[in-house]
Amino acid sequence: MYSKAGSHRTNFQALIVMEQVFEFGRFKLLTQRIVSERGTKLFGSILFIIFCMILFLGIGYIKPSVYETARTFFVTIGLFLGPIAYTWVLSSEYQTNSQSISFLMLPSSTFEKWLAHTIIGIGLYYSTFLGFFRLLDLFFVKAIHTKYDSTGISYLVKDLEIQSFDSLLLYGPFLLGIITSLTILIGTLYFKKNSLVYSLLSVLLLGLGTVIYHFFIINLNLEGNIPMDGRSAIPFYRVLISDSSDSARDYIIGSKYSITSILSAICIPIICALTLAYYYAIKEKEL
Amino acid sequence: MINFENFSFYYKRKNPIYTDLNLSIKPGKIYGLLGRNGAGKSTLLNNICGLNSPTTGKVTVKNRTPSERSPYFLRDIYIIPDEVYIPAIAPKRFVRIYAPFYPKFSLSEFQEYLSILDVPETRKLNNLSFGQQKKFIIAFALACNTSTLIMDEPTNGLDIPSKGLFRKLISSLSSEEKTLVISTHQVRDLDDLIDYILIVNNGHFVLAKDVKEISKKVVFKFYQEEPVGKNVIQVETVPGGFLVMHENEQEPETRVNIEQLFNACIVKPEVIEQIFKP
Repeated sequence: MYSKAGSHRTNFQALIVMEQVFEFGRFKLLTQRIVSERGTKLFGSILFIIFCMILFLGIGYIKPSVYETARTFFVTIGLFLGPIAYTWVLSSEYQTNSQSISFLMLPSSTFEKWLAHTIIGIGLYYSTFLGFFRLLDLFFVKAIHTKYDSTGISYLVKDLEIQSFDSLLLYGPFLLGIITSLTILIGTLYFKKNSLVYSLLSVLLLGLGTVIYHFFIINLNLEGNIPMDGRSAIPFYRVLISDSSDSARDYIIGSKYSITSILSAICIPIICALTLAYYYAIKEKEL
Repeated sequence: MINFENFSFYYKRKNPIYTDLNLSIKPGKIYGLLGRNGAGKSTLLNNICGLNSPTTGKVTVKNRTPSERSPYFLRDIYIIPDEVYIPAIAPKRFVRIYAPFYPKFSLSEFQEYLSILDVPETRKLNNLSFGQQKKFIIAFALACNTSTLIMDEPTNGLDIPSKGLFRKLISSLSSEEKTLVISTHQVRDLDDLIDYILIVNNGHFVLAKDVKEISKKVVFKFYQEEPVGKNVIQVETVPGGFLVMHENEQEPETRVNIEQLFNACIVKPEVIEQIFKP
């Protein structure tokens, strides 16, 4: 009897603790608040990106020989630079003391605040972007094929396909974009002035640090001249070694893993760490 | 009940703002927190709200630790900062978004407070002047009916008639359960409004007393000639004579002149501490 009552009490206490951490009603209110106050700017920036997407892919449709180049260029901008502007709008919650007070004193939990920002800041942008991108890419690729099918020169576009989500040109900017977005969100909590500049500098330093570490490890373990070429800069992917005694001979030591797997192995732990750091940054934020 | 136990706070170890402070703020009273610019008034209020946490010691508000910022704590406290944040939305929308966070919010009271404070109707809140925005937030904060209400320099930016309306509104509010802490460096704005005076200087309270107790111990009088022989604490020259604050030697109580009391606390803190020593 006692143990049953005790168990009920424990369940009740657990429920109270759970409710302190997350309650759907509060979360909905918090999301509504962000959308009401910043919705115009947030959705406006998404609409602007979609407009640019149509513009770039449309140019590619008019001139199919540049379709892939235009698409790649746009994807890099949309996935890497787009979130900078988008997250900056969202992170204005902390740009002044009065805004910080208004946000931190809202009666919702740190977890709810963190989740709302993560979903709206990262989830909403990337899901909308990638969703529209896939739809428009499908539409334009199909339209190009249809346009050329009736002509005798359809072989010119026969290799044109929709962009795969796991291609380096999409996956790389996607991961870097998420890292940048999270760094901006954390940066606005820590840097009172010029937080965007400092946040972007932090990302740059993080990237530079990884590359320097990579080259340091290589030089420690391998002998020979290791030139700094683009792909060799991706840590643990491949190393180009030139033989100084024979200028015609270069060696490439490559990883057995694909470039996207290596990027995932490096970036996903960083993203997890930054996501966690953002939670603690909100929790520990003081004026 | 707000409790500070051995509370110390500093941003830099070399310059402590508060050291080993003990203080109890009880419900049902209006507390006036007075101090010069940079005396640490906002820091103290931020610690009550959980926007700062003590370096050492403890702060509790109704037995909760503010720095945890739990939703239960936050829905029962409201702070009006010196500079208010007003989003660029319609007043009705503001209420629709923010009011549900506070379970005791009363729409009828909110409308009444808006009317008392003479806040004009507007399509968007950011169209209001700074003073009007502040009055809007004051009305909203009062209508939230939180048990703790913190106001940091609420009269900053208000014009003279608005200051009067603010005083009228605050003095009409009385609740045994509500704790109201108002900080200001414009001490005249709190005349006849506060029940308890907290005067902070150099990181400690020179005075933390009930107004009734203050009026028992000191009197404020006007003399045409400078008085001699009384236990004079402070004299201020005014047109036609002198405003004198002296110890109450079994004289009838007078109205507390907060401004003069404040000046005395800043100029002669040791005298004040001696008079009000428990």
